[in-house]
Amino acid sequence: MTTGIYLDKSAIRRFLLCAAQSLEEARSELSALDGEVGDGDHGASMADGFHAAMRGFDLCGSENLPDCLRAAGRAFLQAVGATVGPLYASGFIGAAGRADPDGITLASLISGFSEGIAGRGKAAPGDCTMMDVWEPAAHAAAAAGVTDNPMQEVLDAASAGLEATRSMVASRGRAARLGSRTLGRIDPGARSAFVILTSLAGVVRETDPRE
Amino acid sequence: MQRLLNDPDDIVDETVAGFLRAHRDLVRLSDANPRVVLSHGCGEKGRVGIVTGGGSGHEPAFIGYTGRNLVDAVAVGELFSSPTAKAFLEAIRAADGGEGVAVLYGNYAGDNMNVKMAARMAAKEGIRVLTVVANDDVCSAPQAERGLRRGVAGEILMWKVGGACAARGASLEDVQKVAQAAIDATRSVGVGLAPCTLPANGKPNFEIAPGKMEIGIGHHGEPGTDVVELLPANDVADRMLDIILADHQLEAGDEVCVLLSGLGATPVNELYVLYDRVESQLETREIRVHRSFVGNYFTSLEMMGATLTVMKLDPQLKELIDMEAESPGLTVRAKS
Repeated sequence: MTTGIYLDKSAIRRFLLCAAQSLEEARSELSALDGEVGDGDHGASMADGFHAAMRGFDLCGSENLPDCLRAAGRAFLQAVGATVGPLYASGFIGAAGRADPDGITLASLISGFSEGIAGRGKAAPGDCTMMDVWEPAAHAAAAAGVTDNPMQEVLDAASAGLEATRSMVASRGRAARLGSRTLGRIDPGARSAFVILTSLAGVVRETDPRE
Repeated sequence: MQRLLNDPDDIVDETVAGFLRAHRDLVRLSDANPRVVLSHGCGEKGRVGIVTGGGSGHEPAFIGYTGRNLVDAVAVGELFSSPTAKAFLEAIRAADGGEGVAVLYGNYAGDNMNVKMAARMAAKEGIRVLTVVANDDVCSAPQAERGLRRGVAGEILMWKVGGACAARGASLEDVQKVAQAAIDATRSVGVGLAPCTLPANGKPNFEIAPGKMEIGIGHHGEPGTDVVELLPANDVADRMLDIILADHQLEAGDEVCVLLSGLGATPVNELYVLYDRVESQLETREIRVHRSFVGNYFTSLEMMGATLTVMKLDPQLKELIDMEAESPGLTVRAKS
């Protein structure tokens, strides 16, 4: 029995860096999506938040991965308000709770984020939020057999969840204020969650000896 | 977009900077957090502290209600976006004078999460925190689900009452109780005539067709209950009052406090036109207006329209509403 893909502290560091860079590149796209349904600051919140989280991770002063993930969450909370500040801070804390001192499995990392975010925001798939990406991604990561390509299954599930937000009326989060005005639009929080998972996939590819 | 801007990304910092300069006799900036504004009496020993906070773009709310016998510390968010949990935490720390802090804020997802996290962090530092969540916006959810309703301009009356109660030396529990009673006695409704534009977006975040108005619209353009032909002012006033009266137990002989606020782009004289009708309609129902506030008290950038807020007064709420208070957004002199 193997535990599947295992990410050590330096892989997590690369994931945060890669996510911060990808969110930076997606800054205007995310803000434009958010401008349709919200206040147009989602790109800035996510890019600034992940840059802050990476700094928090680096400056943690501990070799212990859970400590570093908690420091990243605190830094995210310091930098970002709105709803995503508490949600991603809770995601980092959730991941910290599932990490070993020197690493974390792919499934635990994604589940930790998913459960942390869900616990804070109380949203479920179908509510047209980031949970439409995180929850199916976590489910796919947990269900993927070790001989499969788990990260591809995660991305496929996440992508389907993202696309599904187009046909949803938001019932939670800031877009819920707009009711049926959100129909036909991708949820910006779901889109940024997908950007983060895509960054994770890049790190997994360079880490996984089978690829 | 015809707006007075520098870099749209700097608008909140520049708003706070100008506000602090203009009102330095009443407010100052926290040394610990540039997104926390404090009254000069903030943190006074032996008195419960009053904290609020919310997104920017609603000026004079929220910062404008920082002052004497009102709010002690305000956490400032980005445009239409909740302040950080850290900003709320710093506001709570600053407002604590040893008797605890009441955080009186509006029912929005981000504010709920950030206040909750801040309150938990403050509790770990030994600061007692109680909260009251305003939900005065009638059209945002049915009566049976009042807990889902958003907070709008009724928050101002909640702060007024909570601040006055704290100034009298009441306990934290009593301040919470009376602030809750204040919001329970308050109903609001909004009408929108034209949308607003967040500077960073550059275009309106929703549409209202020319010649139409949206009844029950929220403070950020949340959809209302009806889009109808734009009616004459008296009919608009009647429609707003009817929505409030259908939701509120008001009877002949009752006394009320009325707050009529513009949403940003509606001329103030039109607010007086609406108010004239509102008070005369209340008079025909033998409901007496004890105190009224008419002006731009809680705006939504340059949205066009107004909100009507009615608080039913009992002897306690009446005394607290009447207590003198001074802030950049609201000054109340004792009735002679």
